[in-house]
Amino acid sequence: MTTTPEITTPPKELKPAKVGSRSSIAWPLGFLGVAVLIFVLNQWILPEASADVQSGFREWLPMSAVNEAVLWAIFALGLNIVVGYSGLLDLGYVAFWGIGGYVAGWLMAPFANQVAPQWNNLKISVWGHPLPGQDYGIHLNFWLVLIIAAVVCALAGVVIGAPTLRLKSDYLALVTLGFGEILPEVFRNGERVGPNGAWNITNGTKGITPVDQIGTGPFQLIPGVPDLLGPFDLTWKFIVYGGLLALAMFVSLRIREGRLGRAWLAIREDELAASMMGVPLMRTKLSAYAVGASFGGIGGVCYATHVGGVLADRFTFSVSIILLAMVVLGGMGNVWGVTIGALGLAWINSTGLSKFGDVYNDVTGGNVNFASHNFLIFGAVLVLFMLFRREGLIPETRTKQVLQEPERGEIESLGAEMEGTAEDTAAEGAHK
Amino acid sequence: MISTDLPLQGASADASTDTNNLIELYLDSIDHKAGDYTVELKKYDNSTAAAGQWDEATCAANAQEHVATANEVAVMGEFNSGCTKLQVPVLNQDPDGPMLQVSHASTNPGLTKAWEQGEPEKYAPSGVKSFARVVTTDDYQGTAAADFAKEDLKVTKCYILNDNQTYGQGIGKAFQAQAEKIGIQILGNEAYDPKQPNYTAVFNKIKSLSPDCIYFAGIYDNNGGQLLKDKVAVLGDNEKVKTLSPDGWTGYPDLDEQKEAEGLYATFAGLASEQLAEQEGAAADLLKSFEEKYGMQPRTSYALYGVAGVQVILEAIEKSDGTKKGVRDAVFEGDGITIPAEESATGKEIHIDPASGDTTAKDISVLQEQDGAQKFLKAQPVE
Amino acid sequence: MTQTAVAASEVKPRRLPREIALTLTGYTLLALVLLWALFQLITKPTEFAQLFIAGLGNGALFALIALGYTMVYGIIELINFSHGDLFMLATVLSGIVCVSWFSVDSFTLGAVGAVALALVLAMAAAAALNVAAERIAYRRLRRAPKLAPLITAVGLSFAYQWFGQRQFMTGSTSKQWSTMFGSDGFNIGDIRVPYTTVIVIAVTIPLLLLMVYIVQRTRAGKAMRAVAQDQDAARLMGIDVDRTIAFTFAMGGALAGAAGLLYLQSIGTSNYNLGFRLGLIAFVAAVLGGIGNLQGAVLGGFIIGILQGLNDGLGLGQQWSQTVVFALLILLMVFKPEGILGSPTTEKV
Repeated sequence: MTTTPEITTPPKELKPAKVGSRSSIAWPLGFLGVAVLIFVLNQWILPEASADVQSGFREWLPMSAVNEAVLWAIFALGLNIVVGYSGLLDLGYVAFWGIGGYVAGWLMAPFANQVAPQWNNLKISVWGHPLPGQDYGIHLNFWLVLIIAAVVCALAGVVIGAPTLRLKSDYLALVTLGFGEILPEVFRNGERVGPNGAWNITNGTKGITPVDQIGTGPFQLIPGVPDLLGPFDLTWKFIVYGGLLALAMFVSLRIREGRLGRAWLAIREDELAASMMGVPLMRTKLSAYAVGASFGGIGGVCYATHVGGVLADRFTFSVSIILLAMVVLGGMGNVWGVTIGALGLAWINSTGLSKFGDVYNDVTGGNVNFASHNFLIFGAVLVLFMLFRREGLIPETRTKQVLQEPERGEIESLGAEMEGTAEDTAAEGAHK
Repeated sequence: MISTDLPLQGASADASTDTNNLIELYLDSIDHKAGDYTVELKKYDNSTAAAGQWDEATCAANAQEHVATANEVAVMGEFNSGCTKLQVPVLNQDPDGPMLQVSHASTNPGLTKAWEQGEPEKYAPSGVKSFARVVTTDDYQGTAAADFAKEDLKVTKCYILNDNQTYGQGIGKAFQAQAEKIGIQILGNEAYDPKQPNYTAVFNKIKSLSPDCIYFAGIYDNNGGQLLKDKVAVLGDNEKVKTLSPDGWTGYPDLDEQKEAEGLYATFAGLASEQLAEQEGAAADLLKSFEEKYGMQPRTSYALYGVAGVQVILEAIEKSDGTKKGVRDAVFEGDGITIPAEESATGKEIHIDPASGDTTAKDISVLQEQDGAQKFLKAQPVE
Repeated sequence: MTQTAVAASEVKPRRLPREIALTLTGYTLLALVLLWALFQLITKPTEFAQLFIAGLGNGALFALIALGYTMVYGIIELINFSHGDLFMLATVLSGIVCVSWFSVDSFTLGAVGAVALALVLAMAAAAALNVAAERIAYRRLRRAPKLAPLITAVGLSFAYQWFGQRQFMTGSTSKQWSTMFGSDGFNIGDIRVPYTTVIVIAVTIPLLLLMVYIVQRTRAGKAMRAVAQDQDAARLMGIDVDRTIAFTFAMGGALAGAAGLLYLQSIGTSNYNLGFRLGLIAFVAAVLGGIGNLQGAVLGGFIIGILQGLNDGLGLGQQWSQTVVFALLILLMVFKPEGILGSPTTEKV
């Protein structure tokens, strides 16, 4: 998206496995159908339905949980570019979510006034939509902020990625983990920094509230569309978030077919071979970080508008881990799989687990406190999935072949591994 | 129907569960009646397993759900000011409301009064307030603690350790401001990291400044046990270097059992549990029946505040027409809500000031840890 | 290493000045940190020594956890995220044995016996749990790409945390346990040394030597090194790979058990999410020293402990301690990715 590397010799033999033309239409159509259905259902059908149906839907598929899941899916797709496409393990993706969130906090909230004493009377608005009485500070339009956040995160991705380029995968994971731990601490402690602690860049753990609403711009001319998406316009927000998810999916799919995507896949499969074929390793890897991070920035801004604020406590290591679990459970590298994995896992985390608990208690008349067992359930899901369906829900054709290799017996593995061994030895020799 | 909104998973799970249980017991004891209305309790969970604590998205989602549930008239909660900051504006914009929220633990001053820029207006986008609380705000407690340190303990040099959370920072800031005003030297106001294994190094640094008092601005849950242990190990016992703490350090059986706690001062809005137990009243009965049913005392002092919050809501329902707006108006229009001392779960009269939503019961007790219990020492007036 | 080597050689002619600059920057940074420490030592010797001691005690604990991490990583290259939580369970278990069963709260003969029993039980239980996890989960994933066992480890970490969160374990808040020595100690001049610090170090170093002995001198150790280098070749040589890996997990678990008991006796606080943070720090320690290198893990643990202690007391303050630790990690990764004691050709384990 941001960088297109010049590849002198495209890795021809690494053309991605062809996605059948049938499924390449069926999937987007299916998703579009579901999205339209959810919108129509919540916007027009549900309000007319009986109270029981309404409350049933609200309990099992609350619109806010749907929106949240859509945002998780955007993050998961971003991580998928880094982990799934390029095979670079990133354990600190939450950093980009945080940066995106704080970009929203700085640029579309009254908070900018508090940053420095001399900014006290700052009042900037670029097609902004401040809440009533909150028009001081900086208020840029939601869409502008999205673009800015994407760019800022892409830059951050490059900065984080740059020192890791010489490293092999596990060390890379560690550096990203390090950034993922440092940035949240900066957010938490950023209340008094700079000379004499005069600067307040993040408002510490108090967070930044409220974040502006999303303006609908020209679309408000359409009858029924509100001019501002307030806290109860969830179905309209769903269109915004869903549209951005669709964009993320589209970009993911297109990029994968393109030169850059093929270079990523080549690096994932075999870095050595890829570099021999003329894939510029550094630039390709960095662009993976940049593109993946920009998704995180977009998602972070959306998330800030979704919850109406930015709070530092959100950005913990466990978020990175959950995102990774979404990517892996959904099917690494497969856009549809990752999306479904993210939607599913996010729903389970926010709604599903507690609802299943309620049902269980109702049916058995028991009084099991499900919330207190969530760690176990969540952990068990991860372990069982890895044991019995490690290629994920909807595996990428390519990874499936690698992952479905049967367990090898001792004798079998000898032959099968000879190749790998020879390669290792050769590489070692080359190093010396 | 009313609801509670608490973090039921992760580090605050025990405290929240006990709060819910105590509220259930209280509702049972009054037959779920508030005037002509029958009251049911619905429990929301604002935490997720993945986060291990309260979660913004869940808070926001719960707010939607509170508003969308037609017969739910008021919310008791939350435990965390951060979560409250997200929920209040949403509840406030309820088309049938504004919807009343009464918190038992969200003590950040900005929620009800001018604190940071834009507060408290930004929590009332509809123009009228809808958030009340039965706890005093951080600034009162910090101020009272500083006054007490100066007048009764005669300390001159204090060091503040805050837990780097909204509550701890706010209360530490208030303590520092008052202390400096009345002539106590503040040697430092530093955040400690609740996730560190120990604090020996921190206290060694503090030791070189030779303070005669330490103020723990935070809650005991944030590794307070270890903090206290290391404080005593490095600086000496609480007789030698006085230790003060806010109400985040009250009502913990674990704290009472700690031998290092001996001599610890804690400020508390309301009465200590054993005073409540001695004093015949609603709170004593409630604690007794909790003990009978669960075989222990509630694991947090906020449980009683939670009941107090529910009492305010019930009183409001009784005075109202049973609609969301009516319940909210009962608190914020006219004289506000008053719970007399003999009924109140905190053993003190609770009066919600309709202008701000804060409780007017601002007097603060000072407790001292003696022989494994927090004993009432004196009442500390706040101007 | 293969990729690194190739990537480096690919760019070598063009990047040479930059590489030198990189190395120079690295040493300059190191020199600055050392200078700062030296300055503090000269201006505030007592304080410095005191903080050093405090850091040493924590560092020894980090080192013990890191040892278990590094053993497992060394043999199957798995970042075993559940290791920290295993250590947490061991801490709680030894707390239950010491305090709930035998009410250890002072230094008596009986207390020593109880602590010894707790040590054996914690080591055995943690080892058993680790081996069971290996048998049930990791073994099946040995041929899978690295992410699969990693996610499994995360899942197990959640499960362990759930178990630790039960009321009979440590509950959802932190729990205080009485310990044998409490905060007793002795003085060297003005500097106070807690007994526990001495004991933890006195246990860590011999354990390290024992581990090194096992890995370097015994048959099992030889098998481990062989498996770490090449599983298939090891199998050809008649080594039972499964058993060797299980043995490594058992040792890693036992180390976590020992660390748990020592943590309990020296810190005395348990929390269900204690393992998460300490596990991360221990992992950083392992990497710092050169992952897979036993001495390196211990060295890394001490370095982090001392650095944290100095930062808490004289540096930026405790609120930035994570930042300091991870900034150190990132700098190391940039300037010397193989760790302090590791070298690209070092034998693993």
